Amino acid sequence: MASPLILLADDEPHITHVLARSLRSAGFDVITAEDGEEAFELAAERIPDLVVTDLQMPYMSGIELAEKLNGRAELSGIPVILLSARGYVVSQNAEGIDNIRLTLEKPFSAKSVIKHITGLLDSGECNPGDAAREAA
Amino acid sequence: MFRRPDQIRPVPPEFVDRCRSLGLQSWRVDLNGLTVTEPDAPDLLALWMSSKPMRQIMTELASEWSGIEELRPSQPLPGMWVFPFAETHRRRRTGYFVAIGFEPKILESDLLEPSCVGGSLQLGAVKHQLAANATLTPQCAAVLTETLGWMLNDLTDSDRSQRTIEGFTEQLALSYETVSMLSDLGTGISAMGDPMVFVNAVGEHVSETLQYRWTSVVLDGQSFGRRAQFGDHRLSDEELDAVLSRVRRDEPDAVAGSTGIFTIDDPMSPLSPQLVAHVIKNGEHEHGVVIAGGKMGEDPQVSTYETKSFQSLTGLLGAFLANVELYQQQRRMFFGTIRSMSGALDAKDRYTRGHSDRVAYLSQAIARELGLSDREVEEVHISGILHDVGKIGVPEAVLCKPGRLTDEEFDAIKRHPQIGFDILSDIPSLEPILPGVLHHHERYDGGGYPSGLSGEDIPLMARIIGVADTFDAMSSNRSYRSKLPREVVLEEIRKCAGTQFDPGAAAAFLRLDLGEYDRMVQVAASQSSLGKAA
Ligand SMILES: [Fe+2]
Repeated sequence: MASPLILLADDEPHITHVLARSLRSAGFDVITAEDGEEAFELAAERIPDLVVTDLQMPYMSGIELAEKLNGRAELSGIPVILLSARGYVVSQNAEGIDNIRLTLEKPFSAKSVIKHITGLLDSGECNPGDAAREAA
Repeated sequence: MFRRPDQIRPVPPEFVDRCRSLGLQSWRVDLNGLTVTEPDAPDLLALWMSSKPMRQIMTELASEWSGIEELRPSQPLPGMWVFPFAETHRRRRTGYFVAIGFEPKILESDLLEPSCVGGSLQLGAVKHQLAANATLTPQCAAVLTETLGWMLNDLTDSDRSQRTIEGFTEQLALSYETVSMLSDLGTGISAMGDPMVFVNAVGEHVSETLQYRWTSVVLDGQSFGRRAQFGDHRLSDEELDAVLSRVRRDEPDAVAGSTGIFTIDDPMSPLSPQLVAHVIKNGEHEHGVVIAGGKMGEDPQVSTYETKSFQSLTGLLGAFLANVELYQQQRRMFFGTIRSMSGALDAKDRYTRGHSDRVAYLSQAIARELGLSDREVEEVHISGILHDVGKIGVPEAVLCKPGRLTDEEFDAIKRHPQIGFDILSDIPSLEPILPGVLHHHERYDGGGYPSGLSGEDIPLMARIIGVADTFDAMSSNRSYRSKLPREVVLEEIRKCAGTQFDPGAAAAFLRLDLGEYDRMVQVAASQSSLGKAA
């Protein structure tokens, strides 16, 4: 099985830098986007196994991104991890969007993100990305 | 976190400089070809480029470029080369950066004359300046297209890297602040003698590191019961009461972890836009609350960076206050124990009632006068309380004997420092005070007991207690004599400095105000007469 593909979306390049570096050295393939819109386009094109997205981004917020992914059959199974510098906003707005599996508050340790990603991918019935990419 | 207001990122300024050094003029226009930044060109040339016919050319070009991904250079007039580059912000095209170069044949253009007339420019002068700047040849125009493209890519990349580095730097600076805050607090957390030192450090760090205009630490309970404010703004007692009752009574508007967030509706309030409140807890026990308001800086909304820092700070504070309470409890118990030991002695010899407390009081006052540390002063104090505890082992008949003692009896009395030392040396926490107990009857000239030490060989603690002990003995009634007048006693101390007493300790003693001492004498006297009556 190929390395899981992770899509990182954050408008602060230093955050994507740090996370991408750690994820790659942990054996993941990583693609990055700097706003919600680009993230959605990339997700539709590459069908990642998991999305890690910032909450506040230009054009499309992390929550809107999750909602849009949820609305597309082939993307709705992709688990989403939200990164937030405003934990209390997320808890109020993310309710009922069931592909948002987890919210992590900034600042976070890259190690803990990797642990959560591994946990989510392992608990997943299958690699949603793998299946969808094969179907495509 | 530190999100800057969105700003249009123009083509890097270095690119403008490089165009100029290649002999090219430059111009920034919006999506419709309207000027954003006036042409960068020698003055007359810039004015000519801004003339109506030239601006017309630019709007026409812009409409041609719209929707085209890959922009190509064009020649709107014979001899005029336009190299367009799209300016983008967050992946959206926002306008064009245009480099413009001229070949000598531009001087023959039909448009030259009307464009000058419209802008009231002198045709000759414009031609002259154009001629000086018409450095392009058709061959080099082709090369320039590629070169400029690469250059712009490189510069944009480097600009982007620069911004990434700025982000890292900001993050790093924040980490430094946090680390230095934690290390500062780490050093304060051991100072339990004065808990407000640590409490103040926490309050100041909240307002400085987390940038709040106003911060308050409100502590409950008998041990603390204090409120402290930090930052640029201060609330009156009534205002603070109002804030406290809101924080304690109302539901927060939002909750982040253990942080209650309360919205301040009045935008003019120095505490706006939000109050954040953190209860100081240790387990289930609440010690008070830390409240902050009036967030400063670029982002006035509470972020998880702050609530996390806040939580660790109030957590530290809670653990610290719980420790302080334990410490205070332990201290009370400790003092209770040593007081009961000296009380046992008082019960044995009514003439020495209150003696230990008074010697302890005078000794610590001398120690303070000598500039000893708080810890040393406290050790001298405890040693003073216990200095005569060895008398417990001296027969009552000897202790209370009126009149002269035989040599044997005097030898029995002289054993009390050693007996006291032996009794107390089993208690590990009393080790630092033992020298005072063992040596308080040594003399500076070496003629004392039990060891016959002299000068600086006598522990300082013992030299101090020696002065206090003798002063109190002479100032009170004894079984064998009445107390001596104050002047006589002071004169005796002065006279014996250097022989019986350490001159430094004696001088420090003579500088003391004895008001509190006299009150202690009176209290002991009234208690002992009450005792007699009963
Ligand atoms: Fe004594």
